[in-house]
Amino acid sequence: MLGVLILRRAHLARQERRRREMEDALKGIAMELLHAGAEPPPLGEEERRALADLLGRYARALRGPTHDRIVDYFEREGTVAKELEVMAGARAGWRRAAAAFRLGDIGPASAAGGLCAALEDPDRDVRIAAGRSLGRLRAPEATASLLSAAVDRRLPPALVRWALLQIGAPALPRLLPGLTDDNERLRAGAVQLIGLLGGPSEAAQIEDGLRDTSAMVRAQAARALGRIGGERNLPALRTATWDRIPEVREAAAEALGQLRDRDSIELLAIRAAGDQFEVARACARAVAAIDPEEAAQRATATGSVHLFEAADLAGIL
Amino acid sequence: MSDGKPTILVADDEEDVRELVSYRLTRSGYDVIDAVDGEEAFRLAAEHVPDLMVLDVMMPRLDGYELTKRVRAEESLRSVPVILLTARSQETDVGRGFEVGADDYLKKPFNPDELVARVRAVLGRR
Repeated sequence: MLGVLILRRAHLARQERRRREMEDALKGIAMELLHAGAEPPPLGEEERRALADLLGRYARALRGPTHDRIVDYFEREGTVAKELEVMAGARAGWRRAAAAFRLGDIGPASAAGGLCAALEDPDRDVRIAAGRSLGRLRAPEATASLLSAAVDRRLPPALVRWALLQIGAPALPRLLPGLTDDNERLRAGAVQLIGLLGGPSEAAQIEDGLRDTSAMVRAQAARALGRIGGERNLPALRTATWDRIPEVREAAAEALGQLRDRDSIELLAIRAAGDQFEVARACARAVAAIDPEEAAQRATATGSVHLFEAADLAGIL
Repeated sequence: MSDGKPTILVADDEEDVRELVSYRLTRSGYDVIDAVDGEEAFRLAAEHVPDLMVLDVMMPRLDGYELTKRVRAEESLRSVPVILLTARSQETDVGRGFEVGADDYLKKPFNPDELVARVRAVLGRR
C-alpha cells in the first residue's frame, strides 16, 4: 500500500513537472497572442490543452482587448461550444461544474444563456459555478435569473450580490420590475440590490417600498434609502420610525443617521429612551451620527444608556 | 534607468499577474524588475531605485499599503511614483491607497493597455 502511494506520488510529481515545462515553453506564444493577437503555431493535442489552461488562468486577471483576444481564440478553437455542451449534458455533476467555471474564465458573452440555464441545475456546485461565471461575464441579461436564484435559495444570496455588483449599473433596468413582483422575497431582494447598485434617481421607487405590505420589503427599503436616499425621502423615513415592526423602525433610524437628518433628532431621542433594545440602540447611534454633542447632552438629560453608549462611541464622553 | 529605459518594479504574489504585467511593460519599452512579496519589493526598490513601482495590495509579508508607506518614508524612494493594482475596489480601499501616498490605482481584472497608459501618464508628470 505504501509502495503504491509512493509510486503514485512520484507519477503525479512527474506529471506536474511536465505540465510546468510545457507551460513555460508556451508562455511566449500565449503572451504574443494576448498582446499582439499573434496566431499560435500548429500545436499537438497536449500542448493545445496546456495553452488553453494557461490562457484560461490569464483571462481571470484581464479585461479589455487583451481579454477579448482570449475569448476569440477559444471561440475559434471550438472550446466555448464544447464547454457549453459539457455543461448542459455531462452526466457527472463535477464535469458540468468544471465547464461552468471555465466558461467564466474564458468569458464569452455567448455563454450567458447557457449559464443562466445552469442556474437550474440539480447539482449545487454547478449552480454556484454558473453564478460565479455570470458575474465574471458581467452579463446584464442574467440579472433576473440571478435574482430569482437568490430568492429560491438555489444560490447563496452573497454570491448573487457579488455577481450583480460585477454587472453593475446595467443590471438596474432589469431589477426594477422586481419591485412589483408578487413574491415578497423577490421584491425585498430587488430593493436591496437596487440600493447597492443604484443612485438618487432610483430613490423615489425605493421609497414606495416603505409602504409595502411586507415588513421584509419595508426594512430593505429603509436600508437602501440610507445609501441612495436624499432630502426628499426624509419624511417617509421619519414616518417609518413609527412602523409596527421593530426591524423596520431600526432600519429607518439607521437610514436617518446615515442621511444626517437633524430634524429627526427629537423623535430618534424619544425612541432611544423608550423602544425595544435594538431599535433604541439604532436610534441613539443615529442621533450620535447626526450630532455627537447633542447625543451626549441628551444622554445626560435623559439618563438613556443607549445615548450614553452612542455618545461614548462617537468619542465625546 | 538603464539603457535610457525607465525601470519599473512590479510586485505581486500571483505569478500569472506578475508575468502579464512584466511582459506588457517590457514590450512597451521599460526595464522591469519583479518581486513576489512586499519585503522583497522593498529590498529591490532600495537597491535599484526604480522610476516607478506597480504594487499589488494583497501581498504576503508586507501588503501594498504598508509597502507604499515605507517607500514614502524612505529618503531615497520618497519620490518614486506608485501605482496600486488590486482586486479591492471599494471606495474606502481606493481612498486608503491615496492616503498612504499612491499616485494611481488600477482595479483587477485589469486592462494592460490602461496600465501602460497610466504608467506613461504618471512618468510624464515627473
